[in-house]
Amino acid sequence: MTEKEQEPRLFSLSRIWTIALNTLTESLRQKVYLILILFALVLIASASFFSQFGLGEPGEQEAMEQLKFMKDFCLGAIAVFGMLIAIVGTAQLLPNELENRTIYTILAKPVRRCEFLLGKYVGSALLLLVSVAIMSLMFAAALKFKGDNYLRLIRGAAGPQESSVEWEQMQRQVERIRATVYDTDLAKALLLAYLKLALLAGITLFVSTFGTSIIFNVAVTVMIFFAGHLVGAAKERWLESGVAQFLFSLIPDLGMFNVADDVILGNAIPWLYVLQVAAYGMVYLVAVLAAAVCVFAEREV
Amino acid sequence: MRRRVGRQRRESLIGSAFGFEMDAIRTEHLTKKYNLGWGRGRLLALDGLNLRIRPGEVYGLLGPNGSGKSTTLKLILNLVWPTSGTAWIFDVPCTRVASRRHVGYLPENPYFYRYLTGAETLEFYGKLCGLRGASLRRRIDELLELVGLARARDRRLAGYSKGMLQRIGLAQALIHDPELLLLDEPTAGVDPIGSRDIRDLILRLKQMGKTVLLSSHLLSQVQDVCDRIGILNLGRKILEGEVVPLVRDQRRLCFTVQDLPPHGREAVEAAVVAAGGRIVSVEHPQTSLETLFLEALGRDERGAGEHD
Amino acid sequence: MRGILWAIVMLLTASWVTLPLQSKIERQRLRLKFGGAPVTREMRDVMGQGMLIGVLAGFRGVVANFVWISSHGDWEKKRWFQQYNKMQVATMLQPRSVLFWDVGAWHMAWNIGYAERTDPRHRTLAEGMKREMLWHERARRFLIRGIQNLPNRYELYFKLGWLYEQKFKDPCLAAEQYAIAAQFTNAPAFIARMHCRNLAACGRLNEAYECWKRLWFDPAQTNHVSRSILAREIRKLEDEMNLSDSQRFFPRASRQPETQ
Repeated sequence: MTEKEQEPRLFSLSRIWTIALNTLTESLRQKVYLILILFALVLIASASFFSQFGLGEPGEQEAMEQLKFMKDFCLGAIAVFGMLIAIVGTAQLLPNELENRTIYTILAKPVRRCEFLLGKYVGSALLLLVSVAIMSLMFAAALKFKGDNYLRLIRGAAGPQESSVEWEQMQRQVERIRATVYDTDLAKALLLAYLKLALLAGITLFVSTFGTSIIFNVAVTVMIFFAGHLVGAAKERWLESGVAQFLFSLIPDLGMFNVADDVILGNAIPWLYVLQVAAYGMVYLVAVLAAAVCVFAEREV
Repeated sequence: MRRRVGRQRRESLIGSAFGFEMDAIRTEHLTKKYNLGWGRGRLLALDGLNLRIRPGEVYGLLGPNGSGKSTTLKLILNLVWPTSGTAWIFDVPCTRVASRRHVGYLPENPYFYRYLTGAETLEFYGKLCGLRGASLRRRIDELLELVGLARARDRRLAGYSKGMLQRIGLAQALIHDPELLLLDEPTAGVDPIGSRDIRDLILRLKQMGKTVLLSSHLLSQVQDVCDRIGILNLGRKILEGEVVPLVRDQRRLCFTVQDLPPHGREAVEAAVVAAGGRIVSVEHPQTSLETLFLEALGRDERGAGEHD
Repeated sequence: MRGILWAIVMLLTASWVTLPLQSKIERQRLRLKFGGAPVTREMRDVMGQGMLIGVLAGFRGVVANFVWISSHGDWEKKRWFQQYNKMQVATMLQPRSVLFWDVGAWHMAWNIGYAERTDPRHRTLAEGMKREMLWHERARRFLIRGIQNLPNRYELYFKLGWLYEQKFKDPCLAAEQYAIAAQFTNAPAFIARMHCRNLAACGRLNEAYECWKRLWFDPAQTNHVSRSILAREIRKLEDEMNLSDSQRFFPRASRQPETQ
């Protein structure tokens, strides 16, 4: 053997990456992508099903209404399916390894526990990235398709002459619809949505280091998810109970990641906001992963 | 810190080259108590185990269920931590990650990742041990040949039989060519042919100079393979020693004779009594059921191709 | 045990370290008016448990859409007030949604109003018309509330002016609203023209005349369609005001008009 005899480095990135890729492969081969098919169904439903329930008059009003519905439902679906993958997908990583005893074979090699845990997390985050990216592309394509349909309708209704008032109005409407469809702030909303999911996955992993079963992990993380949305309100009211205040200070404020609603309403998101929220998320993520490493280091397998 | 470990290792390598004894595994007063939860006290899984396993020997750890065999292995691998006492692998404390550089572990009833193929599994573990690229691929091919899974290399582990899983488990334990192997019930649930193959493999590893610590219930198989055995009961070692002297009954002699006519038998018996001995039993020797099984299978499969 | 204590320390440290960042983000959110209004009791009455959880989880838009869409059922069953309530709830959930205010007001004044007028359940036509006028008023108040929430969008001012012009038949109030709407840079060109037209209809001919003349030089009104409309309106007003040749912008119809 010609390997170095020293203690392995504190962090071997290649080992973490190996475990991450393994986790990703495992998830993909377990047909997690079936969720994408569900998402496709949501896309199709939101694009066609709600047109019968709109209140706007045919033309631009209806187009804007239907596009709002579509964007809200699709971004909501990305959030929900993303949460399924982030929470349920991550919650089973450690319990499965422990139950199948695959963790023994890995930790029996010169692999540090923190490398193992981080590798699992990176695999989860990668899976989320791939899923959210694919869903976002599907959504963008569907949005464009529907927008083009409406544009065709509106252009057709106005007639070909360039010299009518209707034509001028039609141009305005076309502009407005195009602005709604090609809204680049949607990308910012999706980016923050992904960061929120990545943070949730980290929290799930942390919970699973001391959790007892998959259901426990999922339930506790879901509670933290809801509590995370109350953090903003809780801070305002400066809760009386010290215990509650203490607990709330452990939980990150998840509400700030939800900008999808505002983007859909037409508010622009400044890049500064995105960067600030991303930084906040990163700090918390690092803390949560460090916490997970601390707890896992003490856990006997 | 790093330099000290390096020097220790070099010294121990040099030491063995010159014949100084450095134990492959050494434990001193290794004790493990499990907390059973509130108010239920503690379970004494291992009580002051002192173990010294020399390099190059095959050591069998025996004992009933719950005697502490698995706990011992886990303590050596740092999967659990001792309540008191210490363990060393090649003089490196087991609490250090470096101690596992030269150890390969096959757990009991291994599952591995069901969605990976055999070759991918070995690639995964190889990368964890720091192997890469062409040398890793070569090693994977070698090991798959060695354990007889070359034809199933691209099949997912979900489709492997129990025997195949044990063999891929052995392969991943060997992926980084370790000096020490820890095998927990290596032949449990494996059919006689697979068992024989695993036993042959262990003997071959011994010839290569590797140390093997195996724990098992299947005493007849342990007998064939191990140099020394230790018997644990309720966390304590109650018996230890070399196999052959332990099982050999020094007071009795067995003659195996052939082509002896019936009146010759009476003559031999009389001669024994006349010489002062006592005849304990005279019967036809029995071949083991295992040998019968293997021979029958071998005859049946000649020319029909390999078994799985 | 030690591990869990360290874990708590990590999380508290993160919380403490990010405190200044959190307040910056909070301030930005307030300034940009992100997030929605807090949930009130009326909203809770209309929404079910599931929707409340949806709002809590950050799916305000989806919940508001559901409430809005469910009002369609009320429309078909002629339950105008239920529909009205739901539209209110939708705007309460997303007070920054132009769509809800705009389409809601339009629906109230034009659709529900008309439906009330022609509803055979009313005994007399007069009763139907009275109810229609009440709906016009509701739409007006609705739009005014909308404008309070969204003072920076031209659409609601325009819709209010349109409401005044079409339903209240009050060109003076309409002109005011069109004026405000026309000030926005992204307002379509025809709004300014409607402002001038309604000024004239209101009887303020001089102001209307100045208005049209200003538009002639407005860079937004340079396309062919606008030009011909402007020319036509200016000439009409000049005729109406009986201006002498020297005061006219355009000479009388006997000679060719100036074109740009």
